[in-house]
Amino acid sequence: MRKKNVSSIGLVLFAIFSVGSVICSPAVGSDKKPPVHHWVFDEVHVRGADVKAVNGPGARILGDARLTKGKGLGSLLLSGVKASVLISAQSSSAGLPEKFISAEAWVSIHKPMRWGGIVGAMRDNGSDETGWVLGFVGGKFSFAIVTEDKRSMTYLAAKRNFTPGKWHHVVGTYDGKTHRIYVDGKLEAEDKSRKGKLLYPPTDTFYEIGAYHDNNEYFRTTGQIHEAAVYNRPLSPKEILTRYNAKKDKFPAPDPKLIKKITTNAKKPKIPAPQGELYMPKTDGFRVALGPYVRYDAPGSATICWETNQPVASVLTYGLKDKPQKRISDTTPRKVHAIRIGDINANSIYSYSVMVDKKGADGPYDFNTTFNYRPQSVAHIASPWSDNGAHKAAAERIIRETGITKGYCVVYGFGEGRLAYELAKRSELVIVGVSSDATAVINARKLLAKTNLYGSRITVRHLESMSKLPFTDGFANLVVSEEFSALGDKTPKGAADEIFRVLRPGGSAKWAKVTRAVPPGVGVWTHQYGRADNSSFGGETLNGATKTTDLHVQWIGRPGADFGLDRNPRMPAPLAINGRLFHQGMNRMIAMDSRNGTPLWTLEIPDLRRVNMPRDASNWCADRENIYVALRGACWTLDAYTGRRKRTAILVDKAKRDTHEWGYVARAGKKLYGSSVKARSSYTAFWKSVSWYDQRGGYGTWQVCSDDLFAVDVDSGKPAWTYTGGLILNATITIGGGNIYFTESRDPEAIASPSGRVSTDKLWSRQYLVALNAETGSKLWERSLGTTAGIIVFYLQHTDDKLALVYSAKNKYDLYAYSAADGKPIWHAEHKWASNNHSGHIQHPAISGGAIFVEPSGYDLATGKRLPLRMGGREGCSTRAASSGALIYRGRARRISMWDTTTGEVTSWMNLRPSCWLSMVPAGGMVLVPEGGAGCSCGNWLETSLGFTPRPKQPAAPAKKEGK
Amino acid sequence: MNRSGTIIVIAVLLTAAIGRAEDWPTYRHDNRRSGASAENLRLPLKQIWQYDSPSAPAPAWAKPARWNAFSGMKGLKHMRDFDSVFHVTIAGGRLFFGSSVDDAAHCLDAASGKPIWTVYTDAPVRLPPTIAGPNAYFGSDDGRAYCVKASDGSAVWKYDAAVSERFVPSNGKMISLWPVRTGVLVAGDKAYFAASLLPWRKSNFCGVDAKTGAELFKTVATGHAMQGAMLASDTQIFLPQGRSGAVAFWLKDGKFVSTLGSKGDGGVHAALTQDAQLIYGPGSKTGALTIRDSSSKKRVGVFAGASRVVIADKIAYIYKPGSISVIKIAEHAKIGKQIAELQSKQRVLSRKIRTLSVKPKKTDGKAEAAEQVAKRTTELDSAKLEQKKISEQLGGLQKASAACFGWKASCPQASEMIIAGKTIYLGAENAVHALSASDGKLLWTGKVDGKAAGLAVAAGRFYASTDKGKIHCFTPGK
Repeated sequence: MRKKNVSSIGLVLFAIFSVGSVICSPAVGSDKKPPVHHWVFDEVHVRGADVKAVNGPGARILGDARLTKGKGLGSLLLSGVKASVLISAQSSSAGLPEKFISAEAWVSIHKPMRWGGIVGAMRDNGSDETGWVLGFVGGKFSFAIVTEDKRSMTYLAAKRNFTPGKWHHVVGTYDGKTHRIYVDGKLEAEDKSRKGKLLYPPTDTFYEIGAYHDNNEYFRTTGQIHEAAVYNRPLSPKEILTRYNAKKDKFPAPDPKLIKKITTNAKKPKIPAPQGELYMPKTDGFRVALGPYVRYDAPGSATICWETNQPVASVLTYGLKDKPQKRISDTTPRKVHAIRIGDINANSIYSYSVMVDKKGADGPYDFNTTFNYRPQSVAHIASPWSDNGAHKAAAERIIRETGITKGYCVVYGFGEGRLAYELAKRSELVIVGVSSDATAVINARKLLAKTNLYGSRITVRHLESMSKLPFTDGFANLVVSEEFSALGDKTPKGAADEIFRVLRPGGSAKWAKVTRAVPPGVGVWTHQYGRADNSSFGGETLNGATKTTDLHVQWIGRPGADFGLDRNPRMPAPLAINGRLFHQGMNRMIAMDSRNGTPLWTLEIPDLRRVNMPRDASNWCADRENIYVALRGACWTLDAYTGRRKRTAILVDKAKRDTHEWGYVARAGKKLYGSSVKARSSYTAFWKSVSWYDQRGGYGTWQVCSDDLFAVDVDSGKPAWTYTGGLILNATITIGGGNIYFTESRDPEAIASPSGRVSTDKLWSRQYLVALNAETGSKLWERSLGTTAGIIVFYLQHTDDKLALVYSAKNKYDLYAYSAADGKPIWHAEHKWASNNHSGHIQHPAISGGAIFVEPSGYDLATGKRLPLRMGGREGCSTRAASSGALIYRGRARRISMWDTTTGEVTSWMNLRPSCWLSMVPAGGMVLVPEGGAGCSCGNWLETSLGFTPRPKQPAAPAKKEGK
Repeated sequence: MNRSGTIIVIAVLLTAAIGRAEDWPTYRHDNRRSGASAENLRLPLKQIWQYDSPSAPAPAWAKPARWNAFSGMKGLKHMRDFDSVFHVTIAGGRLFFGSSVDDAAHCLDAASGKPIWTVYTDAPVRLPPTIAGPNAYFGSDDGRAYCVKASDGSAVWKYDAAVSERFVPSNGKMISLWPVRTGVLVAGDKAYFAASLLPWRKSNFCGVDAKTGAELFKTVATGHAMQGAMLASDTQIFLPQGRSGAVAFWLKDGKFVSTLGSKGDGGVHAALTQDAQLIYGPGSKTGALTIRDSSSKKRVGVFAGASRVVIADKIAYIYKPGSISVIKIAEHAKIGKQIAELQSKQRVLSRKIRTLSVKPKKTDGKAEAAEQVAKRTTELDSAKLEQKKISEQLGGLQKASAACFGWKASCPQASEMIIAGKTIYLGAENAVHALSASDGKLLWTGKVDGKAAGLAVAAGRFYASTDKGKIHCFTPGK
């Protein structure tokens, strides 16, 4: 019975389609394989806003589109204002073709546009270029696709302009090798430069008819559409001609009135006026000049910041993703905008857009409140004590004098918790109290719990003796005492040495009004490879620790697996200096206290992403007080403690500001260094194995190069100098000894490359090693290099009086040492690479202790003589970071490991993995491992962030008597 | 009928309608973590009280990675979400839970939600107290296991299981690097727990006298990160490890038995069948529940896409996003074991057939002797015949396995499932649902604040704990 019913339904549907075919002939002849998706816009298939598909998913008419009336085949009139036809907002589940495709449509375009869409599912955002779209560019039909071999969109345009108002048959095809566009049955253009599968966005985009729509552009088409179809095979030229002929005479001739109207409109500027709510002007008029980005202020609260190129009202729309959006506005025209929203839920994804003029917006973007790590505020909780004036004054004085408002505070001698409360109220400190008075602890807990203060911000524990604190060394930002600070008892109580022990370097003890000094041998990690010298060594001694067993966990926790992009695309390294750790995730960054893991701030910045570090320079660097981040055409200076943006530097060369972005970024002396890279040159793709950047040739190995190099005054942003010459390889730019070094290609063809991601082999001809005075930019010397094509990675390092140039090609590494003073060659060595995959062929050198290490060998830097020890075997991707006595890398069983450079001993941390490049750094007297390895579904990795410190020479917490 | 007789009849009828009032004395009801109670509540339910934590639970671990971008795999599942809510236990008219907010174990009056006692520790308490006899047992991130009187929270004993007393910062707390994140399991007269976190350090698996806390054994285990509620069969105790397979010890002496499953084959949601098949998940990929035979350690079944299991009367209720299906789990596992054994034989035979099918290369210019050819051919034929038989047997077993499944019904999206009597309860986003256990039909829906990932039924009430730190108590009524 059930089967019978199904058959009956099938027959009914068949009958409807048959009728449809009589009326509008959607199907012509007998197709080999019909389209997988097929829509006809006529009275049979359109019911209200619903479009019943001939094949595939139905669609829904958005806005004011309506069916035309009159003779000829039916069509949908698209106003260009609000109208389009949404097939699905979840393109990944729409069953789109993967290998081959044909997209076909009968359309009449009334208004040429810069970016027009007929049917497609695409994204064209910076280097996030994915999907395909049959549409038009200006007055020419086009078929744009992205394939896995080339991750940029090619708009293959017809040779001839279409006639506005005239019906045209447009077909785009791709057969895995050749990309073609046909108009009115004729081949208009073809391209054979790509191959492989179509590449779709990693997350959903819009599958839509009558619009060019992705997550930040929504250009609606003005015109009519009769039919659209998508095939998972290439239509043959014969089929296309047959299909064109079948309907070419069934459309009305262009209406003279319409043509006149179109012609009149055509006199207006070519760039169409804003058409919809989410329109983003590409060139003229108002635009977002900086941002937007999101800063978390407190739990449940965030500020969205952006700048516009001209004063304009601040308008923000936001809401839970896929839910109705709220709107906040401030009509005061301004260029710098900041809107605070205070009603956001925890652990939720929000979308937001910022308006840039009356009709247009930039967005939507997302932010995820899971990464709002700001601690619970207790400012609103009334004091349990009526007479707390002395403690209030003490807390205010402590905060004023120390400036410490974040991290851990130990209250040594907790009392009733009055001082703890007043400190918590005025700061973001986590208060840990200790007391030897058991009754006082019980009472304090009860009292604080009654007012909901106990737990998230304040805790207290009872100790038998105050002479031994059960805490790790050097973690507390602040140590205070309720009795001493508030009640004026100036006699130190307890064990001063114990208080000093738990105090972190740089932290303050108000007990004795001391600040713990930073011990010698503490290094930094301010640039991608340690320091601006690219040595992969930041001066860290780890107090002599060379084995993982010499270190113990100092802190464990956030950020976790959900913070990052993925472990595979070789992201920028974390940075660490001045007791702080900085780490990038998926379009977000976090600052932490490196001694206790406390998140200091988090920013969500949609533009923040740069990957494939072996072929580019990092997008950030740090000094003691600031972080410098290259974002689009600017470099932001962020306060390292608060995350507030202090300054923004822009490209020095005004002529490049519309066409280039900020590439290299480094800090040295009083200068901030930068370079200009053609826009969209940096790698940002991270999806699938092609974005692992483990290639040995072709895409992925293309170097990102700059067209100039410049310095600005770090405080004022005033330009100091600009160097222009050849095409500068970002991965080689190195600062050391007061000079800046790099290699550049002076080959005209390479210089003329349309992208800064240079694919031509000519890059390797006419390569020069160049030295400039870093202060003045004046050239000191240059040396011609005899490089040839086939190079996979190309690195330059500076140390003491030498430069080390290392590159890989043809199964081996070549190492060259030059005098930093004049560029004269000193020695050359070469050895076979350990493997041609999993980073074995792209290892970055590490320089420490007078030796340079390139897997699997080390060399005496002075002589080039190979060292007797063979480096500890690497397993899995990643590269090495050096302390003074060890290399830290992904070694045994693919765990984070340490190789003792003296003994050759290898030790490791079980189930701890790094990212596929460099996510663990020795700095600040620690090994810092912010989570970077997550995403791999292959193993039992711990997936958390950790800080390790050397074990005390004399155990601080001796093994205790265990058990009851 | 006189008045007293009427009362008796009404009481009998009520008992029949409501079912036997039970406790819910440990995480997911019992040591097999069945998630099943025999108690039947009359629907609909109405909320009678709500507990509000000052802030949301602070889980030990972050959520999973958004995706495995390298493999193009989305929807990776959380393998360590044992503490996203304040799970509750109920016994003797009292409700107990542990808090990661104020580092305490709490006892409330189950009928009114009013606090009775609070016992503070020095770090988060991530799993609910186990109630056995007059006592409540729980562990803390401070590295200690605690036993207190359930009546007033007064201390009975405390056992320090950590190797070092050094506390380190962790997500705004100070914790031991040997936190007790397994809870405390009480079986017979013993209490079990583990202090474990870093796989490169030794962990302690401890057994003590439940009454006195006297140490019976302390097994030092290496390479483990034991966390999430333990499970016990009659002979073994299983400790989930989150991102690795569970580890098993003998119940009687705490000696190590084995690790179940391979790396990444983990999860902290688990249940044991009566015949000691361990069902656990969701694994390191996009979600599945695996059945592993605890004696042979072999995998004997997989429910792809499933995320929750409840076992009641030899029937397993399997939840996949949007649907529930029922299965005779003992039979299914038994057949699965046979299938696994046959598949193992089949693999051996396939290798043999491949080897025998290859004609040996000529050596010294001599071809394979005729008798060798004949022998090889005979062996090959025999192997093929054997393989055919196995294929036929497998076909039969697979049919039998399929016959183990009962009804399947669509249901709301949920993050937790339990069963009580004839009703399945689902915890969802801002909602809880009751469904018929006989056909999956939706019977009732109630509102809660947040994602309900902890459920319990005891003594005539239904409890739902949410990720916002709320505990909702419902009782029959409109």
